[in-house]
Amino acid sequence: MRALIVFVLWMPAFMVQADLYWQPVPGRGGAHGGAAKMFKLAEQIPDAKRTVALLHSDLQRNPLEVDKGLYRVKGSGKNNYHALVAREEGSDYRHLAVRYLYFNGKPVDSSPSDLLAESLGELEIVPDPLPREHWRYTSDKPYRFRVQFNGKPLPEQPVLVMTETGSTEILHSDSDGVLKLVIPDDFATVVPGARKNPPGELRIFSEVDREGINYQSSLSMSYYVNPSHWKSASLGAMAALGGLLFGLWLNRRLPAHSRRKKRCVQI
Amino acid sequence: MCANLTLVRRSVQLLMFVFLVYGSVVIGFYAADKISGALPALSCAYDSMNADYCALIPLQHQLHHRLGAAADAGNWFMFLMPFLTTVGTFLLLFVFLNKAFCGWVCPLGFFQEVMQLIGQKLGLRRVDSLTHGAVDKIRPVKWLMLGGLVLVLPALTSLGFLSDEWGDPFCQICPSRIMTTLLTGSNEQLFVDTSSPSYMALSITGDFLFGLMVALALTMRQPFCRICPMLALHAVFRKVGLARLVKQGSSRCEKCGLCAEACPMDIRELQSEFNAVARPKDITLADCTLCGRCVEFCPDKDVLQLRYLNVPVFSSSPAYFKRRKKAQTQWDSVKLIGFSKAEKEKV
Ligand code: SF4
Ligand code: SF4
Repeated sequence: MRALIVFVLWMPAFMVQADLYWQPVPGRGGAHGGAAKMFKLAEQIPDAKRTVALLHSDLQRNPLEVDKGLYRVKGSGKNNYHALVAREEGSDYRHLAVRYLYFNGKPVDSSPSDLLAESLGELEIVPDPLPREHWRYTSDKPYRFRVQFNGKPLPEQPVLVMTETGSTEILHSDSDGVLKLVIPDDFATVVPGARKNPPGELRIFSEVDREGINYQSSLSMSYYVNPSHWKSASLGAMAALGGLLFGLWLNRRLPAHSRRKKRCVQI
Repeated sequence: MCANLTLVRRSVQLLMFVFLVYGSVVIGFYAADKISGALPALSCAYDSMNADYCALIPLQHQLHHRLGAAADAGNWFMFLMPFLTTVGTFLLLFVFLNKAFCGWVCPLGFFQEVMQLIGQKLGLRRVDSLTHGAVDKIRPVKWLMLGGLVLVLPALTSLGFLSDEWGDPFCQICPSRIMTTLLTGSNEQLFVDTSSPSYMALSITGDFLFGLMVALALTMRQPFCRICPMLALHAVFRKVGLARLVKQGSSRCEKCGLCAEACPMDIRELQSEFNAVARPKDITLADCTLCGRCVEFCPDKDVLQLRYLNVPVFSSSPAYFKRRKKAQTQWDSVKLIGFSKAEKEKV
């Protein structure tokens, strides 16, 4: 009986899972910076019509060429978020895989909100918002995404969230098409220090059928260990309290001093 | 002449506080949406709802991330281009208001004034002015904060002399980071970082300094401003600002000193300098925040003036002084609780 319940609960996970997604190739560039990054498209349909492009932070689009199954994304020389977009099309399906990448470079006039406003496909999972520049997705923190079809919110839409380390969850967008998600804190080992822990991979998938066409969409991203593992809020509060008490004590010892010998007015 | 300059200033400060701390609702969430990215006031970049970033964060980051790389590549342009862009943006804004960014715009400056009001109403305020000796000892600290924490340590880190923890040391101890994030409902910036001895030392210093600033602000005027590196940065460029404090004193100033007593930054030179001059002189001194209290409490006509583009916008006058003194005495006499005996006796 228990096995049956588990099976029934897991069924929707496979029903909403889209196959196509972006996967970083280990050791080939981090989340930030101007260095080239290497990615592969996982779970492609072999004979699909496929287009892959990099949408720059200033909204310029460049097609990307594949080289031995890998996509090399060079820094565009422009600052801020770029979107790596892959589409696969067949007679009865449209698949979309999106990943946002940050590059250092010359400032551009547009904002990440302009990039997010660009339509990348029919069914989209759009960060709302992306982590602010120089911030990043972090475990055990809440994030919002908009799930939309042809630019319109998709309410109560099932979404599969999974991490590389094996956390899997089915969530639903709310009545406004907003998906609220707390990234799982599921790192096997944590070493104290922001730069000492490699990031994990999070993938969000969704799927709808409309007029005989199957639409699938994925958004993938790196996420990092929550620094609360080595940053203690209670110790911080205690240190601040220490400063407060020291300040109050110091104040009792400061001589009340007047600049003028004879005071005409208290001001 | 306005009825009460301090009231006008507090209203502007309140507006600026709300705008700078919560303004992302209007301005936009991303760094690219912010007004300048190099504001001459401590509007903190760690505040997820802010409208702009303080200039000290890009200065530290550019030194930390670009200087060493530029030295390695032998390409100084790599460092100078972003660094000078930040300084240029800062100056472009700074020219308009000069040091009034402190007295009229800075969220942390306003927070300290609010704490002081609370302290006064609770009867905690005991210290109107620090002694000359204390003021003289404290004044150089702001230069050490600017030189050491904002410029030298990030530069040494970038050049490989220090470990990475020292890349943005001022941000790590800045009370505005803790104050603004707490006021947006996040306690993420009040922490002790146990990942390395340097981070631990910096985070404990930051938390302690925040608590200390709150306690001292309850009882004395502008405690953090006196050591603020932004005050020092303003002092470097104050001669290019369009807003100025000018003085044309007389021999009566020697016996009066109400201006120096009113000054929240304890600038005693206000009383002693420019007392026998033929023309008004610029007395926007290094510690001045252009708050204008000295002008309000000067009882002599046109001795002190706030000028913009050399046009007087607010001048001292006997009539204003009388009104202002009366209003202040009434305001000071309102106490909610009288914690301090000394304070009770003074009223
Ligand atoms: S001196 Fe005071 S008012 Fe000026 S930037 Fe520093 S904290 Fe703000
Ligand atoms: S000198 Fe005048 S304007 Fe400057 S801080 Fe003091 S009271 Fe304010």
